Amino acid sequence: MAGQGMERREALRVMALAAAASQFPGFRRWAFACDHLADGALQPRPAQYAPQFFNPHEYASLERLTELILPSDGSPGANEAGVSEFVDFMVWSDPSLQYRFRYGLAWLDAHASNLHGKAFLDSGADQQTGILEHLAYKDRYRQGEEDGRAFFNLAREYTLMGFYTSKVGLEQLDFPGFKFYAESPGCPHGGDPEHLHLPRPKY
Amino acid sequence: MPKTVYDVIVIGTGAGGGMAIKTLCEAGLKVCALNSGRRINPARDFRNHRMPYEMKYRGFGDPRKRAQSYGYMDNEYVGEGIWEHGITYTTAPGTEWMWPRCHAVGGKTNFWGRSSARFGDIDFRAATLDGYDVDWPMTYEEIAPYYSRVEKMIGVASTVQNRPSNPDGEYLPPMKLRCLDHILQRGAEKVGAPYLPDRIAQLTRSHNDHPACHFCGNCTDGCDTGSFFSTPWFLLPLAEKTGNLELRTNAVVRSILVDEKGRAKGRRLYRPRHAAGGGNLRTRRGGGGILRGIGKDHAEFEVALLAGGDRQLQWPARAQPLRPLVWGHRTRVPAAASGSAELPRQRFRQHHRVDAALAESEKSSRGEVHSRLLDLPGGRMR
Repeated sequence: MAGQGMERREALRVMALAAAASQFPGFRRWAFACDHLADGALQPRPAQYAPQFFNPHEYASLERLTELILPSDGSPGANEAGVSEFVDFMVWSDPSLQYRFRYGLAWLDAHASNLHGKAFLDSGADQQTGILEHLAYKDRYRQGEEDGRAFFNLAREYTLMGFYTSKVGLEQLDFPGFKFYAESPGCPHGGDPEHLHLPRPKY
Repeated sequence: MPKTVYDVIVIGTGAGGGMAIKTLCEAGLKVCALNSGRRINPARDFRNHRMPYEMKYRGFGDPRKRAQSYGYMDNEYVGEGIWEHGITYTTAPGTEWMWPRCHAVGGKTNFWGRSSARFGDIDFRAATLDGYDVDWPMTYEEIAPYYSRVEKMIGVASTVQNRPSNPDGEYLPPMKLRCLDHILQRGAEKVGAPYLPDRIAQLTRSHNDHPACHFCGNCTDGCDTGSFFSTPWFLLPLAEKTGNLELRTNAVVRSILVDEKGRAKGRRLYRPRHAAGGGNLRTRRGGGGILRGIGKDHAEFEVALLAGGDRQLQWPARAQPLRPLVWGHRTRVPAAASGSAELPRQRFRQHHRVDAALAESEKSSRGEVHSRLLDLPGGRMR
């Protein structure tokens, strides 16, 4: 379902609801389930996002950082999902994150200017990737970069959180939740009750 | 402030209160139900069919309030003001124990685990079998018809399993085993343990005009279709249909007025504190009576049980500070300040026959039901 437009998924969902509802005597109650859609309607995304917590330079660095963590290489990435906006909003809402993010971004700038004489944002793409690789992978560990690694972990966590809770991200994930069934979904592997002969998952 | 006299006042609308309300209303008694919180609006408050991006914090909840959250039931998928925070209880030093209280109408029946097994004969005769404590004052055979009655009312899904320790009831079709269940079942077979469907109060097909479960899997965030038993979906509509129920929300009961002998004082039922300009009530902040009321949006009530006879109350006559709530203290009802703390066994037996008495008296007069009720010891089910 990854490639489907959201409109079609929404339509399918509402159709499934209606079909299920028509079978039940308590139809009125099912209207509540549908009501969620109206009540929780998406706010339209403003053309220009005004950061709540970060200053413009920090925000631009953060946007670049999330983009490097989840690039838009052939499929939607952090940019398309508006991850930096989510991170900014969450950091603004959570005082316990504010110092860690601000310090981390400053660390990244200082580190970049030590290595390349420029702020992280102004470094070349290769230089940026080079810096992050040492923070991201265990086998590229360099002494003295512990603070940066801690920050990178945090930024990566929030990037993934923001991406996979967005509309775009959930489509990428082919999220199996939020399905409705007319009767309880049983195990489909009737011939193999011990599940010994199923192909191993890829991950 | 005009006084209204009710036959019965029920404090709380959870599993016990809700069932009492429904049963008493259907028996023709005028019932006033007091609930500490508001009513739930399923469309707004149960958000379990929303996608994360339809919520402000993507379902993670307001970070500034996360510290006081009770966890998975008390999250962004459930509306504000459903769970009670800032409860005045303490825990023993070095212990972390949470007492999540849902103060919306229906209490934790809105979020419960739905497991609805019967006690078996070995539970009722446990003392005879293992030598500890005392037997229950009734047998399984005596109580089985009432189990059936409730199961038929609320809808419980399971299978016939022929295990006397966990007797079979009247069940809806069970849920199917899923992959993990099959794997575990095979493993359990190898060690000789049964792996069977639970008795679960979840509607696998539509039942008593309640729609069947749609298996979305978010039961602990509340059910917006009313497909598992909860007071607001199953009992209140029936009680309200009788026209005998007056449900007062945001009404925290602070104390029950009793005289020095521990008896209900008389006919004054309640007095809203703010409306009456304080009256003889004092605010207790950080302390607590038997039940306490705090909060600017809560009217506080004093409640006197309407008791014409010489009924002994099992509540303490005077307000007591809440005890530290470490495990084991929770289920202990404060000892009666006056009167006997222990119930005579005969009366306890009688207590459990209230259902039968009410069923019989559905045709009979109100006074009779009332007098039967007043015969019963209250408040002490432990």
